[in-house]
Amino acid sequence: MVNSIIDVRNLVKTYGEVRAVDNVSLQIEHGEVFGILGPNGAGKTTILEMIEGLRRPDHGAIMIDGLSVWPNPNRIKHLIGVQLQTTALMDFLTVREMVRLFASFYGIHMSRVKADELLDKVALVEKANSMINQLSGGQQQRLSIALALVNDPKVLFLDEPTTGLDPQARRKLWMVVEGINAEGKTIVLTTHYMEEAQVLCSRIAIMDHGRAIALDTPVGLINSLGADAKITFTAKHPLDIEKLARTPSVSQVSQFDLSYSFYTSDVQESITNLLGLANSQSVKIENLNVAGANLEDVFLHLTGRGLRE
Amino acid sequence: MVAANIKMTIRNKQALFFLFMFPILFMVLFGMVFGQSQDVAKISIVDQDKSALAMSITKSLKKVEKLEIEEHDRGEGLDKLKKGKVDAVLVLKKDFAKDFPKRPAAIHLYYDPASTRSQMMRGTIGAVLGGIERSMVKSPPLITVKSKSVQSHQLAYIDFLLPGILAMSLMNSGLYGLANVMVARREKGVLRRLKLTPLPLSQYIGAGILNQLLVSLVQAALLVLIGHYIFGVKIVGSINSLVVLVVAGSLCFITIGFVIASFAKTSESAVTLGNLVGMPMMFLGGVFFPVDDVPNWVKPIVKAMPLKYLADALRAVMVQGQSLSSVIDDLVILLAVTFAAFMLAIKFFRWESSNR
Repeated sequence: MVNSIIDVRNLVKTYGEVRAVDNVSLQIEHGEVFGILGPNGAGKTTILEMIEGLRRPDHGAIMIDGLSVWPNPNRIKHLIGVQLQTTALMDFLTVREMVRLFASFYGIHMSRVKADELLDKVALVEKANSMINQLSGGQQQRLSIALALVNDPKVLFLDEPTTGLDPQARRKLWMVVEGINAEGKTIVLTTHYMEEAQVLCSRIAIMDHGRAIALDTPVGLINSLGADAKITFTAKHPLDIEKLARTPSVSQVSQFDLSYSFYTSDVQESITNLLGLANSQSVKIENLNVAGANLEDVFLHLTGRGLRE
Repeated sequence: MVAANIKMTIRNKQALFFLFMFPILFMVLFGMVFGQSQDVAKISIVDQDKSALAMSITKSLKKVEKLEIEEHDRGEGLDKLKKGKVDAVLVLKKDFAKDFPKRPAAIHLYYDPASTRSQMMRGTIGAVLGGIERSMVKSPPLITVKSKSVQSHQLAYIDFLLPGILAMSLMNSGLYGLANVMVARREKGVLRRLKLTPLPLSQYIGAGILNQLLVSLVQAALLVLIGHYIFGVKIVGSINSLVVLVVAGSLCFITIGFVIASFAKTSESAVTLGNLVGMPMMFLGGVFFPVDDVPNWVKPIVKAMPLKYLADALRAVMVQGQSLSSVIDDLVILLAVTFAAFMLAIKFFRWESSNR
């Protein structure tokens, strides 16, 4: 794994009795958008902040672009740009001033033109003269991405960039992230929105209780379910689906009262069988729904719990 | 960073208002309450005798500068004294000078022991009457006392007050200004974000100190100008020495503020800690009254207060016109405290509010 821009080995971080991060290893390649997906408290932020050099791991090694982050995180500061989970900015400065101020922290004298170019990348150029406290949540998140880019880093870390944003603001931010990735920057982001991971990420690590329980491309993860689709329906009267469950294409049949669901790798066969079964038992089927499998289903399959429980 | 800090300070209109209004308000209030000591004293004369001598005494008194003479009857005069409307009542009883000049004339002076000014009248009246007496017997005074104050000019309370208020406002903006900003930024996570940039801690802190220093200098200039032009405080010392002291004092309290910022977890506790340090100094640091005569057990406390040294030094330079070398002790103490506080602040500085 010589080519990995980020190489994390056997990372452990314990808070008292809690193993927040439990022996995690990750290799992130140049130019990837790498997603760390998991519910709150899974250890996503802790991993990210150890890689960024904000928190010291108890065990393990982290290399960024061949440089070891610990024990001296100063060495990698010029390589990375970071957006923290809580966007905290100083008041009483304009957006453009803030960008130029942060550039000065890196010893860069950024001209107004350069600053505006950067703001253009995060779709914020028309707000260049606005005060920071007048920005909306989505605008503040995009500004904080711009601030993470002032030093032209190789890797950009985004910690739950869209948490708390409305769908429109979220889409806008996705476009910004895609644009930055298109310039060749590696992006590492955490999220608990499976849709976000699915849309943005080339590869995803799924975290639960401090452990990386799966790591693959979104397609690979969904394929691992061995199912194309999830079929759900409700029945007017109890339906005996024993026969359906025994067909090889069907998996994970579950029933709750009169609501049923199962996964299938052959939608056509399963639907035909289901309707035949219902007809023969004279049970009326309602709310039949066929949905392509997604990462939520993967997480459910791996942990038996939903992502947002 | 420095420029940005200044911008942030200036744009925070509300904070700016309090920053400058507070000491000025103090100055104006105290100036109005205590600043009238040079006013004329009011004396009520109750002339029950109406003799030529009585008339001439009244006449002579009326000529005395800074005495305002009113004539009442006895009851009225005493009533006014009790109400504080006049500072003393002179009663010339009927036939008070019956056998004058064979027997000395007896003049009754009523004063209010609760009022310092009234007490002072005893001496004043005595002196004035002595003068009148001498002019009447046409004997030249045997001894003249030409009083010369050791001060280069007469010290009024406001002259004492201005350097004190100046020291106090330097202390306040030092203790609260930077500490609050730092703690608030730490709470919000701004410092955490800064930690990710290569900006050295020293530069960040240095910029904060410099900004606060500029604020203090402007504050000091305003105070001195107002004191000088509105309250007539004469600034006799050299402006350069004054600037040196203001900078040293300001630095001292800014770094103490930094120590507070390093220890305080929240903005609220920063204010509380600031009060804990600031309040005792405000009262015992020689701002509003001299602390040379405090009880013995308080003296060590007073001696441990940096504010006292700053107030003393400022007073010596501003209104007594002393040179910087004569207050070098105070200056050294201030710088020593600054150094010690700086060490503490650096040692205990934290970027994050929680240590997770």
